Amino acid sequence: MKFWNGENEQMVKEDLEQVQLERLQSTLNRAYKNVQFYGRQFDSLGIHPNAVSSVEDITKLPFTTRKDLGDNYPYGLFAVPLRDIVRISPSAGTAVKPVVVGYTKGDLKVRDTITARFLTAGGVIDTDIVQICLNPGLSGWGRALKEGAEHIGASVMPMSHMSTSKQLMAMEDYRTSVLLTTPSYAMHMLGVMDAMNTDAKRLALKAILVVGEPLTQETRGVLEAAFHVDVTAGYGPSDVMGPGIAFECHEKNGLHICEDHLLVEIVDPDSGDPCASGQTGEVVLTTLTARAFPLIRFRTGDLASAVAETCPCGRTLARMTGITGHTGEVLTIRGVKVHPAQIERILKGASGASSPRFLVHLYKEKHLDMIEIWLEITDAIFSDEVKVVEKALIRLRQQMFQMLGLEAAIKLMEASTLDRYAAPSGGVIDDR
Amino acid sequence: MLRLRSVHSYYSNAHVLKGISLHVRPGELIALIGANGAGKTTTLKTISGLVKARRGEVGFRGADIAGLAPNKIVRQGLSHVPEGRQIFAKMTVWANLELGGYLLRDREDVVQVAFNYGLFTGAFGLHYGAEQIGASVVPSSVGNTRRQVRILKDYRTTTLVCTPSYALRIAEVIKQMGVDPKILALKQGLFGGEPWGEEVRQAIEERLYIKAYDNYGLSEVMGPGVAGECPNRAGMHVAEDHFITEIIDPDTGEVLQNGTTGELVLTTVTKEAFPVIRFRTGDLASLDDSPCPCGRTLARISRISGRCDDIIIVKGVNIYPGAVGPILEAVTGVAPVYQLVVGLENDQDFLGIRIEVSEAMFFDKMERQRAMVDRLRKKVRDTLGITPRIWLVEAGSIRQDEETAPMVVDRRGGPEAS
Repeated sequence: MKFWNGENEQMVKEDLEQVQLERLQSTLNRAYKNVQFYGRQFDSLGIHPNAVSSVEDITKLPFTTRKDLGDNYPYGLFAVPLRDIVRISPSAGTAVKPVVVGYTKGDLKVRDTITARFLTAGGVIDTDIVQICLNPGLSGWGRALKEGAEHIGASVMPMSHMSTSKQLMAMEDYRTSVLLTTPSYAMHMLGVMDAMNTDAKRLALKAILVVGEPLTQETRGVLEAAFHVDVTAGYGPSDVMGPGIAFECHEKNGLHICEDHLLVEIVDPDSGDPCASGQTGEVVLTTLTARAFPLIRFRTGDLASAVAETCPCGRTLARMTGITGHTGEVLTIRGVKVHPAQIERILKGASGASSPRFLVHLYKEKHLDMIEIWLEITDAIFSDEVKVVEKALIRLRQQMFQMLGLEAAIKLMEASTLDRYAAPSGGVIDDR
Repeated sequence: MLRLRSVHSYYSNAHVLKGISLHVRPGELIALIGANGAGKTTTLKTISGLVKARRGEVGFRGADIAGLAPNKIVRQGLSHVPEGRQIFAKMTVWANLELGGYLLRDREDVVQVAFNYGLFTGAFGLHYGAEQIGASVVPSSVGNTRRQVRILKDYRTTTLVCTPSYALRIAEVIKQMGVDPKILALKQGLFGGEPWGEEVRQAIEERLYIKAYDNYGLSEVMGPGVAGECPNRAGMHVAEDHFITEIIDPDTGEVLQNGTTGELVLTTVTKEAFPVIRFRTGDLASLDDSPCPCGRTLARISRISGRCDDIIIVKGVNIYPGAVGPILEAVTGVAPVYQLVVGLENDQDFLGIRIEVSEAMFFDKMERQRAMVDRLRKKVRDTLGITPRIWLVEAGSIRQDEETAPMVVDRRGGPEAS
């Protein structure tokens, strides 16, 4: 199948703009009326939703940030009463406070449709066997992908905590035809296969769809050659919406945005002004159909640029490039977004130190992102008894895993060693 | 059920209803017939509160609802579906009437699913079931109990879904965090994944101030929801329209009389992809087909009293004790002598493995020994999905009394104690 939603994916521009405007106005009105935060935001700027009479007028509206999401924890940004919510997704978030996203039954259906478009564009059909391998930190996406693939009618193995060798065993035995994972985990699997002397030809794999991290052309080339498959990418801002709100088609040249459900703007991260087409800026999203958790001009922190030309694949949905970087300090580790402030909070809580000094060291091992926390030894954590220190470190590691969904190594360091790096506490040394 | 007594209603000054009286009993269908302008619509509007009665009484389930706002009347379970508007024209009359159930309180429940999402069917099964009712589901998964408690409190969770031992762990952490369980919105819990007795139920109910319900399912058959307790909590109603239940003698295979405990055998009758015929669950229970006061006619099975094979269930994971040997051997290179120890700590199950040190596993350096234990722990975790405690013991200390040394020592108490 070429398209999941041919009609919507090939809409002519005028029709699409009409749909967008209607849905935008409806979203703004609902958000203004039902969500105190948006009501106050609009009122303080003296804007009424009715003043938006074209899609371009959206630039008059204020931005929403990740901090706003955290400040309204837990249910503050829900635009429908709880009884209409069927799913509540907790997420660590990247701000100081966690973020809670809600979905109505209708929202989940929309998400299934969007995800099905992404999967269909990547070649998934109803007879496929789909295996999902994602980090626990991306479990919300794991569910979205599972439901999207089931929506198409494919057979799905949901994500689970299995070692790579066991995942590979399942892939061979179950005759998995589609792998959904992150680019780095796919590369890691390749390495493990080499070590196990497994030949990719024994696999029934025909496509790999990746999410969570940008896909470089180089990685795509390696994976396609080694697995004899097509590799396409999807994009979604972590923890807020689905993993495939923009997705590649077989042209593999930019990601089609689901413009009937979302508005995407590219803005200058400093001034907030719209970027010219082709110029890199921050991706800003406005939901057009979300009922439970509408977002208005949400600043994702992801950098990309718009692609101007129409795509030969037949989709009229506009395209954006893959993510080329992030604004601010947010780190992407194995697809999971982490803010150094989160790490600091965990260290404070678990180490007993009031202001722990630390550096975050990122590097690659067997294609996988590794994270190491270099923590300064202080009296709070130090003890003559090795056992006590070891216990404290184990506790820290567990906390990291539970809060971030990532395995982090903790290294204790002397203050003088940390001083050698000209980075302030909480700084990042990225050797990837 | 519904009673109108001498009701008078007006449209401003026009006196439309002049002393209407009407009585609808439970199960009764009443139609109002009359000419245009006779006041049929006004009567209905008066009942649903759209028009206020100036005089007279409107009683519903024994309470006077005259003068209540329409939304409050709907919340009491009385709904008004105006045919003239053709709002739901394509739906059947029955579906239109069912809209009266629109505000069922279940839809306001916040269900926290603290099971491991993954290949285990429990989490997804209960998750989607709760969504189908229209409840709000929080897939909090497992781990970080403090975070679970924060979610419980902040999200105003009303229904907790997890293993019974994890519920007790949560209760413990609630106490540690100084949270008063009475202030939580929690009103019930659905627990499963491992056998639990009435003592555990009582402990959960006392510590969390909730009603604890048992349910039964297994991934080979359907996942959760094969059987579950009703508010009477005297056995679990089997979804008999989907499963045929038998209780057999585990040794002879003979079908046993109702009330006798034996092995539960299930046959699926609606499952398409993976039908099972006379599947021997290995679980011990008895069958009861006497009527239940709750109104369900579905037969009940007793709560599971144990297993008839040697499977042990730890943290909801099924383990064949004999399968642990090859896992250990893969690391140590030789078939080790070992014993499983299952126990409770902080109300949580743990799995311990005692392994006799043989020459092949002996290292002169502590560091290497420790590395091997780490590898063993990781291997068991990767294969069984549960992280064990590993104790290396001296050669001969398990074998010593081989005759009596069981492969499993279960220190958890309750029905499974050995």
